[in-house]
Amino acid sequence: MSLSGVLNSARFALDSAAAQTALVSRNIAGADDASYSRKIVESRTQSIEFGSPQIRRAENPALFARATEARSEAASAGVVKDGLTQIRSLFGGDGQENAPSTLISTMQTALRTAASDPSDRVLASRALDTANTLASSIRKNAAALSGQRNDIEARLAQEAEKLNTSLASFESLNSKIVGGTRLGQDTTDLRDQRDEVLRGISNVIGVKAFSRADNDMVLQTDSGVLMFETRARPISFQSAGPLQAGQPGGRFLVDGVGVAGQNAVMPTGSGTVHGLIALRDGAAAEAEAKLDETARLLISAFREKDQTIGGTKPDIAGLFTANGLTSLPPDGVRVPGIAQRLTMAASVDPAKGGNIDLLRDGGIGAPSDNDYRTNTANLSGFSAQLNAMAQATDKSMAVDANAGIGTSRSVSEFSARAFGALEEQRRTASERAEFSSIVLERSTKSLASETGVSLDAEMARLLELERSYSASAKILSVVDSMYNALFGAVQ
Amino acid sequence: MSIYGLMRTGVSGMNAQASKLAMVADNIANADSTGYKRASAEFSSLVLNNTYGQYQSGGVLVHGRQHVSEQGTLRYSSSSTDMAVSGNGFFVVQDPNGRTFLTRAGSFVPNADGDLVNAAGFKLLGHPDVSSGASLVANGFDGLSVINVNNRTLQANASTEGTLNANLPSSASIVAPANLPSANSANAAFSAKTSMIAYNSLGGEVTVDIYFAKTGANTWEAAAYNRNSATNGGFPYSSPALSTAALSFDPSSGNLSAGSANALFVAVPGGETLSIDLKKMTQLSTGFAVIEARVDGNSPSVVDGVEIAANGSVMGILRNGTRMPLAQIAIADVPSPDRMTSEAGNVFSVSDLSGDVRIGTAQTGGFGSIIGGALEESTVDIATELTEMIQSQRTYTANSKVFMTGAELMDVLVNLKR
Repeated sequence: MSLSGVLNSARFALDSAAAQTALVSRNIAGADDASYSRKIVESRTQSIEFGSPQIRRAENPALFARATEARSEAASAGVVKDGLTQIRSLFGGDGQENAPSTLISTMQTALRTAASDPSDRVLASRALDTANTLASSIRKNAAALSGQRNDIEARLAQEAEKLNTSLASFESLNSKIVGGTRLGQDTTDLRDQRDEVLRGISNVIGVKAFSRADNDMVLQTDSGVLMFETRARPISFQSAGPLQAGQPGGRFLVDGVGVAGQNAVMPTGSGTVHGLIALRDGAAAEAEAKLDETARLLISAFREKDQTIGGTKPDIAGLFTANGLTSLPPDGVRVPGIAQRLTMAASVDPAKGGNIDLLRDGGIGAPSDNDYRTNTANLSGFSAQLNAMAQATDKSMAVDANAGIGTSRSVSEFSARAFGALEEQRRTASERAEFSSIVLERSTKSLASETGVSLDAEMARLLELERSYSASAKILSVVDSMYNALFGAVQ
Repeated sequence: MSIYGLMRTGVSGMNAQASKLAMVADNIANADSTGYKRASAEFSSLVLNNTYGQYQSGGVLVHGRQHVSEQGTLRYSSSSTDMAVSGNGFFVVQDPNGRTFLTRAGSFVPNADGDLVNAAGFKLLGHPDVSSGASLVANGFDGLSVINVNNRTLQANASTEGTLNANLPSSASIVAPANLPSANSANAAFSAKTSMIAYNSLGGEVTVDIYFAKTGANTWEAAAYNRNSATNGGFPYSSPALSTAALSFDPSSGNLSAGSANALFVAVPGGETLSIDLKKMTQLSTGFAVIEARVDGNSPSVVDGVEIAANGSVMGILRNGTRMPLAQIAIADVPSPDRMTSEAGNVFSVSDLSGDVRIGTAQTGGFGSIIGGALEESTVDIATELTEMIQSQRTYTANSKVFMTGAELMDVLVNLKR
């Protein structure tokens, strides 16, 4: 090799060392950034001796896919857990002080106490208060549940919007990456950014990605619906409008195919969208159905009969009724939305101009019709009606099997089991959320250890580069002194 | 013996060394010229017929030799239109007067018109149509034209070929014939749907919806629709299916069975027939998943960058990332490259001594390959040139001593007579 050649080699070595040092500083700058992946420089040595350095990115597609999957799973489990915790807090959390079962037993005790001295209006008024609290608590909780389902609808619409925005930025990054790769540019930082967008998408919906030539990427949901291929596919949420009790919610569409909600053709299995819809159509809808059944059973349990011998008048609602209720609802069938309308009869409520004595005498549902009165003799010590009421909540009745708690239960038993089922669901969801967040943490950590920046390694690399830089510089100075010797020879 | 002869020989030696020094000067001056080939001086003796007892001094003849066939080291540059030949062959270039030359100086950049021009102002020649590279005239410069990299600023290509490789869930439920996607009814049922972007002749994007529905045990129907004719993004479409295919799978392997249809021939509205290859479709007991999806073609895009392939094809890189061949660079060679005539601007012209030119493309018929984004450095080595210079200077001095000795002898001779 000629001296000029030696100079060239040394110059390339210097260039290469400078480029690598720049890369080390880039790596160190990105050490604290979770989305940054370690950059590696590779000298291109084709048929010629030295080439411009090529920058590569530390990546592990298998681990990345695993972390993405875990993230979707954790997002889904987290949403379900939060939703169930919210539902549980409606019923008073651990103490269950607002749970229908607790309030029913309080009312039962109050009615028994009132029965011990039917003439005492203070005791009667106390019993009425507990009944009123029960009705209003069920009403409020039903309204809150309905509100929660409607909030989920609104949030799903937001998630669809968010997903569209993310896919749009994914599209712009992807086309830059593909174009840049074909032009031979360094696209590693853009790919980090694209991975970050993909992370965001995986929070919303379960996503699987595969790569094509030139770092091109295709996204599909975990159920196989294309979300991105050259262009972003449309994501939409078909809202069903304000949700009524028992009404199924809207569908979530990706590329025109239902992926969550009613009749989803290719249902997704993870991500916030999956969690929200599982909550809306699962736990929240079930809790709503159970409250509706509890309300119906309460009305049914306190029904009043025609007391005349051989009386043929239909049974009517007694202590508990519902706004707009004209006749007793049929047995064993849920009446959607009845819990939101449950109230204590106004005719017995002194606060609404009612007569508190009706509690003792019966005929609350029809004060003007004496046929429904039990205390026909108008005795002030009449306790039979109050005793019957105190026992009404323990009487077995036909229950809608769709509520998931058998076909024949008393109100107290039904409401206690309903709360138990909810608690069970919440515990399962919370365990699943905890498990999936551990899996997420582990997979993120193992991905970071593969692709993240290790400061020790970078510092060691820097020392190496310093050595090789000074060696190349030394070669330059040696060649220079050789030239000097030569120029000295020319006189 | 002739003293005059002695003096003339000394002059001849000095002239020869002066020529050599001129070449060294040229070499040093061009130590950094891209594609410059080192020149060296070869001397041959001129000896006169000598009779017995007497010696007639002759002289020395200088032959300039340019080492054209010597390969210079390649150095990567940051410009993608810089190129170098690695191996035999030269770029064919044209000067502003239309004369054709060969050169190894490949520092080309596009000028205002998009022609590739090198530092010395020569335009690169080649064939504008890559596919007809064979129509180059093998022994002349006919048929070559200036390579232009932005003569097609907007370019659209219709889709003609695609591949779809996906798994169909073997446990899917069977769809009644009236509800198959191909029937295009409002309550059409399907097990899976995917979509692909295809391009029509004007480069417009057409989204093709592809539905898969199970028609029986191990048989499926694939139906492709144009997204634009969908109602609310789904069935019924206002126009019938673009293409349908009946797929049947081998129950033992889950691959397509031998007699099955294996492609969808989609007549892209306003475009060409796109054949989507379905050969790798499978029917296994897992969910629907797309494993490969690809369609060629591109929307109208400007040429964003240029890449030179090793075989000399100039690829335009469109904004959407698609590569499109723009031209084919021609490579020329002569039987004796060292005997070509050098001309200003690091170019060489074909002479009688070098033999006839042979034209072809890189990597074929003994031609070297073209390396894009690299330049061939000058073959001059300063250290060699300096040593040559010192040597030449000493030889010149020695020749001058011969001349001086002759002159002194003449002086002595002239002074013999007083």
